[in-house]
Amino acid sequence: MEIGLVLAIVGGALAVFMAGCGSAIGIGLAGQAADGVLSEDPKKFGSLLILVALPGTQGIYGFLIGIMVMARLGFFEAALASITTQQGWQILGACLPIAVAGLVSGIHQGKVSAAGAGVVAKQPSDFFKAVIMSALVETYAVLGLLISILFLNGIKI
Amino acid sequence: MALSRMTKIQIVGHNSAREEVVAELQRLGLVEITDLRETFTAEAPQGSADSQAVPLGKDSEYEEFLLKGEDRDEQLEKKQLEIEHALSYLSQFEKRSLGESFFPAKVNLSKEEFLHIIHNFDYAQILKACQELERDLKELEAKAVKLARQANDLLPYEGLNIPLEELKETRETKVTLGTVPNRNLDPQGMRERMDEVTKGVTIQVIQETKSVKYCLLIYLKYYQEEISNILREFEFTSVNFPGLRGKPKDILKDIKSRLQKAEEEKDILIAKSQEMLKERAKLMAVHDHLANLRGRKDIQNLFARTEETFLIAGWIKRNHLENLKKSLERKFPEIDISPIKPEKGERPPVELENRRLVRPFEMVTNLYGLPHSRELDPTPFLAPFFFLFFGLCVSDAGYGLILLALTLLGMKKMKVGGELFRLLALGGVATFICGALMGGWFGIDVAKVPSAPRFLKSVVLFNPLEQPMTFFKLALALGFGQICFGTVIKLIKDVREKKWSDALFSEGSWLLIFAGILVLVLGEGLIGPGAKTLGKWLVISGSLSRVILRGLFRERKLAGIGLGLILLLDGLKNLLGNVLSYSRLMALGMATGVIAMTVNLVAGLARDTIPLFGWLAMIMVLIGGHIFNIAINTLGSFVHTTRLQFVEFFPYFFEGGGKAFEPFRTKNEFTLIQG
Repeated sequence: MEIGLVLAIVGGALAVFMAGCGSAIGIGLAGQAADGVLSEDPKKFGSLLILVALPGTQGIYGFLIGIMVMARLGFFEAALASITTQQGWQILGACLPIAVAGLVSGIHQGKVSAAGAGVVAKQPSDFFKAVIMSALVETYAVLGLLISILFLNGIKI
Repeated sequence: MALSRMTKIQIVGHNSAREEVVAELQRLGLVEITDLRETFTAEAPQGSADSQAVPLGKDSEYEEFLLKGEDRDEQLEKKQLEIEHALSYLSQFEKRSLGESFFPAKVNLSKEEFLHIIHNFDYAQILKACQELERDLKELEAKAVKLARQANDLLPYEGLNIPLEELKETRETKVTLGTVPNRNLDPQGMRERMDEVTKGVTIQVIQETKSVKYCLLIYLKYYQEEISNILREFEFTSVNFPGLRGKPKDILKDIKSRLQKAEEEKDILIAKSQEMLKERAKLMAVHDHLANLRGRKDIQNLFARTEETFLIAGWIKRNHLENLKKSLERKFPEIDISPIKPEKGERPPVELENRRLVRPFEMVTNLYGLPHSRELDPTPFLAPFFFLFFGLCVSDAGYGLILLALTLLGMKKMKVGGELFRLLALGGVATFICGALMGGWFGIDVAKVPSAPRFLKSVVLFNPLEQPMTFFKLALALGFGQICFGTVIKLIKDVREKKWSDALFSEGSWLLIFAGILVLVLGEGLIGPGAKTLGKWLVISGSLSRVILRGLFRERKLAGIGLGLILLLDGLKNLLGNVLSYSRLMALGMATGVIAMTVNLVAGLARDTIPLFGWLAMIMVLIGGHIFNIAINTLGSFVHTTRLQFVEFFPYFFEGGGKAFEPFRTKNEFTLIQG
């Protein structure tokens, strides 16, 4: 296997697992707080589920970039594309925005969502305001995703 | 399409009619009643000369006639609380579907049914039964916990073949059960030390775990002092089982059967409680009835009252005033209703009033907070953008259809959450339109399917995956458009409020700058030759007017120019950030498409690789995957579209801070009464 292909695969893998880790940690944090509220009032399951699910998008964005990398490398076709070392580095670089932004924003969005569980507990009618607060963090994952997509589309193979 | 117009009114009457007037006000539900406890200054009514409203004031000579203090019906409150408690007890036995945990359904009752229940239903008996059930269940649970703990303590000694009551000290010996840490019972440890004292200590190990040994210890009383010192040193903990008789094995057996019996009894109690669930609807009706009675009682504390009269002040929608007068004055000819002037600085409550198509979007405005009473309602302004942005974010025609179908179904089945469903249904329509324009149907690009109907292909404007930059530019253009629109609204608002200098120097200059940027971006190809020069000068003149004219005319000093410059730069920086923020439309739109494609891909792999059941696996992956994608993208699109309104659009013109209009009316927490 050429070194270029290896680099590209590493890039795709980074996008999936770093963003995925961000989401996993974020949902973990939010989920713990939500369970605390749930133990007092199981009726709030619906609102809490939405809050807890919010930091999950980073993982999906990373996964999406991973699939895009696989598509570019020809994993879904008969033969793999031939990738030069330079192109390999390019793809690796293209994956980094969502990988790093996903990891960090996922964790912090989880923290905001966890605090949002407190809003659901004390002011259930203001639940959606907590959702918006949490979504403010996600902006930066979305921007990372955007740049990763544009990079990947721009790299010539 | 704006805010409802509100009028302040006062109602004066004799105490004999008070209860009935309150009941009628509650039934009509038209008036928001203001609190007169602190400030009861009712100015003389304007216009109507015949009314004899007494000017009541804190310092007025009438103050001594005012009745003070709270009026409460504790009996009523107690009953209501008891029902609430019983309802929450019963609710744990209810089986709820996932849908209901999102939108708890209300109990539907006709008016006759409702009246029949509140007049005939003997809820006291049900309450008593509930209380007994709850108490018995708690006792049983406590008992079971105690038994389980006992069994847990006794379990390690199961191997001991002596009845517990025989483990008593004799005349010469001491007998005790207990645990000692493993590391302390080796030959060099406790044993050795005891042997130094006496060889006559029996230690029988009954059971051992990784960390401790459970043992039976027998020694002569003669050595009690030395032995207990050694025991303490080696962390021996003795245990007692007072009151237990028989061999541990038999006791454990007994406990087990008692636990089982308790479990059975518990099941019976639970079944009985579930049986009670059928009374729950009736309890809910009574609860709502009592709560409304209590509401009537509580609201009267907001009135100003004397021995003989009462005075109510409140807000009503202007077009409802005649209605109220007609219904109240017909029934109670002796009371007086007249419009009054609001107090200084008092702002009327706010209610949004929009056409049917725009109404669902009021939810978005409500989430942010209401406009203040003299402001424009932002709902009609944000509605078209919200619609379009939501569609672009999900952007799959097939998903749009499914979302529409699901929300229509939801609207039909659920009696609550109607506005949300309507908003999502509109979102479904938008998604369908945007999806069709981009040629995406369940992640399949319509252009790549040869058999697809030709008109589906002909409506496709561009493919987001092949032309991401087109999508990107579209998103930014929409953002720029919304920001320009927001500035225009601010301009109109300033003109309405006669803030001429703001309108001219701030919004006017900005619009010049925006126009210049637009001309520059469109370039010579679209505008014609000279676009560059025109755009440049538009931006420059806008900036100059923003900086210089503002400084000279508004601040009336040169220092204003510096401030103007800072504001200009800040505004430009915000413009850049805000417009770029709209790029999320593209990112989210593409994310939907790519995930949908991935689902199809995985489904295809499943069909090709799994033997025999490949088709089944494919169908399952397709259904599960697409439903997941719809759910996650609808949530994401809703949240991000809302955010664009709140964070990017609103700051350009919206102030907010209004208080919602909350008329005093019948409120039913659990029931929905028709007719």
